Amino acid sequence: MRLALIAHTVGLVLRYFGLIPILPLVVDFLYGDWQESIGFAVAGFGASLAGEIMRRLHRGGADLSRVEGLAVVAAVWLVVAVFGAIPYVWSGLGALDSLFESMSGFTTTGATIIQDFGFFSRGIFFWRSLTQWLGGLGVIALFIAVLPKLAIAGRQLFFAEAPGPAEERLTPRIRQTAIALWTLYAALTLLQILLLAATGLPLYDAVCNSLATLSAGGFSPHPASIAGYASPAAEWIIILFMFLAGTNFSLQYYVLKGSPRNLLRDEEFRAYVIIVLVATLLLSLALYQLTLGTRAAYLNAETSPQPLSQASSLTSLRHALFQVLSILTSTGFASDDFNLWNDQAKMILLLLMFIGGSAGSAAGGPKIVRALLIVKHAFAELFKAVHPQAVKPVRLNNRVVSMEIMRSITAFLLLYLLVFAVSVLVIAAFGLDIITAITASIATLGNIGPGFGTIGPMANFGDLHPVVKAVLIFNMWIGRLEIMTVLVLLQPHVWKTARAGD
Amino acid sequence: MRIVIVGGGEIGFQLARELAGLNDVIVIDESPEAANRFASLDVQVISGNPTHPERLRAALLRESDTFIACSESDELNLIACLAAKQVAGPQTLCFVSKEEYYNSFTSIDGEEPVLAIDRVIWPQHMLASEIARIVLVPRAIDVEFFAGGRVWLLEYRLRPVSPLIKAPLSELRLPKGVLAVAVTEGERMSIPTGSTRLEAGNKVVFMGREKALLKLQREFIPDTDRKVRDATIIGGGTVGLAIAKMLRQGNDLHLKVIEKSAERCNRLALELPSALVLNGDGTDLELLEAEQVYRSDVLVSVTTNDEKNLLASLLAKQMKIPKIITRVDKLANLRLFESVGIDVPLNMHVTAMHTVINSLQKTNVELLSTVEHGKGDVLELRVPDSFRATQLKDMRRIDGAIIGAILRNNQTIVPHGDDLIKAGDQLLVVCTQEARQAVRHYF
Repeated sequence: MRLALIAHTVGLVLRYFGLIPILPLVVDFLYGDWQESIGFAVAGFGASLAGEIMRRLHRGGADLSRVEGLAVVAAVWLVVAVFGAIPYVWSGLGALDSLFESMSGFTTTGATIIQDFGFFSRGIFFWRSLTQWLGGLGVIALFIAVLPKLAIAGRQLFFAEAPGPAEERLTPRIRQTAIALWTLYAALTLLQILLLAATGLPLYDAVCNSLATLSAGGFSPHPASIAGYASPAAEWIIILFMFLAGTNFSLQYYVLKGSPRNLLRDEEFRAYVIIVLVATLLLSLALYQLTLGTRAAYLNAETSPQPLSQASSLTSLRHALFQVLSILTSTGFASDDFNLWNDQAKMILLLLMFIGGSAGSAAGGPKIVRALLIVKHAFAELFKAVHPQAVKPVRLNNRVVSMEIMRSITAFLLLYLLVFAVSVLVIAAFGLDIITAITASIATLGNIGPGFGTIGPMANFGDLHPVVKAVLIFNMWIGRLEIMTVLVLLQPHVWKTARAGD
Repeated sequence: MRIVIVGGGEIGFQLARELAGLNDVIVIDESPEAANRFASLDVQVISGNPTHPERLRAALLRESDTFIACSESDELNLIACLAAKQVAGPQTLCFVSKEEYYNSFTSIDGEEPVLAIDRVIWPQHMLASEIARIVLVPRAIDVEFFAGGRVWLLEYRLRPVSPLIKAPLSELRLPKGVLAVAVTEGERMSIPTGSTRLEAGNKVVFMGREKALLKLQREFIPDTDRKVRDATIIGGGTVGLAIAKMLRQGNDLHLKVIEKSAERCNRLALELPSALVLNGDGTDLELLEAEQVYRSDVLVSVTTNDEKNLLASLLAKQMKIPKIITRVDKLANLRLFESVGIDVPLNMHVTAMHTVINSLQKTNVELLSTVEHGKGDVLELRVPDSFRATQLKDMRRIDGAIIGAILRNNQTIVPHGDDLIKAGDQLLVVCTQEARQAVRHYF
């Protein structure tokens, strides 16, 4: 592993990343918070300077090996989060809290440590949403699209960062693929902004919420999340775009190119639709039951404490669909304080946290395709118990999934659960209850955001112990890179070949 | 006519034997040993690579020559045909075994193939479609469809319980629209008449309209009320896969395919999503019993190894599977297989060979099929326009030939003595080997 080469490649990205904080800087200027904008200037300048220094450590031009590629991807996401944290520090947050907020942004988690929303400038909230938007499709994919220079080394970086087990490309050149995906992503975001603005949301809120929807992020400038706007129309629009955020973007691209077959015939997409429908139905019933019983459950608890029992069935359906999509696609928005829902409803949401969205989408989590394949694999094994010599390969979209892919998926899910288990244990050791420990772990590992208990959608992660925060930061980082990228680098023998020069 | 045959294997030898009588035959084979095999025939054998231009120039003289590439290698056959075409421009017939090649060298969507191969012959596919047809008709040991399915041909082996052996054919009251067109007793095939009395062990070929044959099946063939629901194929090679694919098309059928190679099994599992693909040996009794192969209505054994096929078929016979269809690659083994009780032994070269020989004869007679491993032909004759309508009973007879059906526009007539034969009719004639030439030159 040539550390200088890795630093050089990270520097290439970081140098240009320094330009991005100009956007929130402008926002702060527009709203007159010029003293807040200095934080963005420092972050941008610092990133560019550090990037330039790192770039000069190596003359470049060398091909990255597989493990070096993984190291670059892991390092980019870490370094970007560090520089992205500077504006928060400038606004008065502690260093760990700032890193938490920044990592939560870039990894599209949407877990926040901000306790008092009134304390921060508009630029900060815009920055939070913008980091999610960048992280949604991948920081490296963005730079591959923008910088021709990165395109050659970009192939393996692109796939190390892209969510899902399979390599998908729309065009022969990876750069064109990246451009196509980012164009689609940007166009959808713009559409959502226009639609939300049309429902009467202030433009600023429409922009911030849209940036956080398409990326399946979940940061909202409103302290009560989407529930705070109390606008069913806005909720329906966000439902639609959360659904799109959890759908494979490559397949959406084909739909725009005039062949919706690819999407409609895709087994993962079908499974996605079925999961959404079934979970929504179950959740609606659970919510409807609440309205019949005497158990307390509250709708829009923050803004207008109204018992759910007075809500119509359409309202229950809307909240059910919203929350199912929000959790499944790992967005983390709340149209209601679901922490106040009963255990039956929460259980459904908790299980959804372990599935995630589609591969090749902005969603986090283990991904539907992996769950689908592992279930198919399990049924094939059941069949083989009766017919030991039967050849029953797992198929996806009429193609046989190779044993290598099945093995890597099995390993992925095992390691995913292992990381989950370890982090639950660590968190529980710091005195948090079971529900909080479990949901905090999975909500950060799956890049979802809010959990239940003391970290519910209307609460925040601010009061947690610093060690717990550090574990959760690690969870977000490793979860966004689908675990393997980081775990490969944590093997000691990988570092035996590390050297400074080349 | 000068005929050049590339490849001195089983099919090359059989072709040479058939053709050497009337033609100058030259065999080109890569191995020098081939000459010994052909010692008994009056043919010239050249050893060496058949794509060599000098060698081809020496063998092929003019455009009217015929070039038949039937070596075991598809690639060699294709290249030899191309080279031959370039050297002398003969009529080229090319044998292939892989589906991919067959598809790429035959016409696609009615467009003429670009390459200079006049006819592509795919024996494996011919065998597979023959087997697929036989599988689906209970008790039948040969099944053919003619004139787009308007005319059927079914062959049965008569058991002692058969009602067909009770009386002479004329007294049996067979359904209207059915004719018994051939009877095989032991090694001899003959054309039955009204006075013929069928016996147990005879193999009888019936021809007629679809509905009439189904009625015959209901009334005269015992144990045919059960539909074929469960089939086992041993050997998932080109033939096995092709059969499985044909059987899967629109039939509600439980299909098991047993294949030894694990790699091949993956391909089978990919192409046959609803079949049960088993990785194992078709002669592994434990596997056959564990997978309840004895419940199958049909067992098809189509590995490329005759001994394996024989053993698997005998095991199946012991499990009392009602119908066993077995592939026999060595023509010499055919009789042996039949004598040990295999219901339907089939050789893929027979049909392919007759197709080749037929395509070499320039008459208005077309060979539609063969019955009983080439002992009999099913020919299609067109009645010439100059022919005056005549009643069948008044026409000159040929011993060993019978008109099974008359196709006139959209009509299908299963003829009796009073029926008229008119100009322009298509006659489906079944004849024995001996009568073949007489039938071809009837009009």
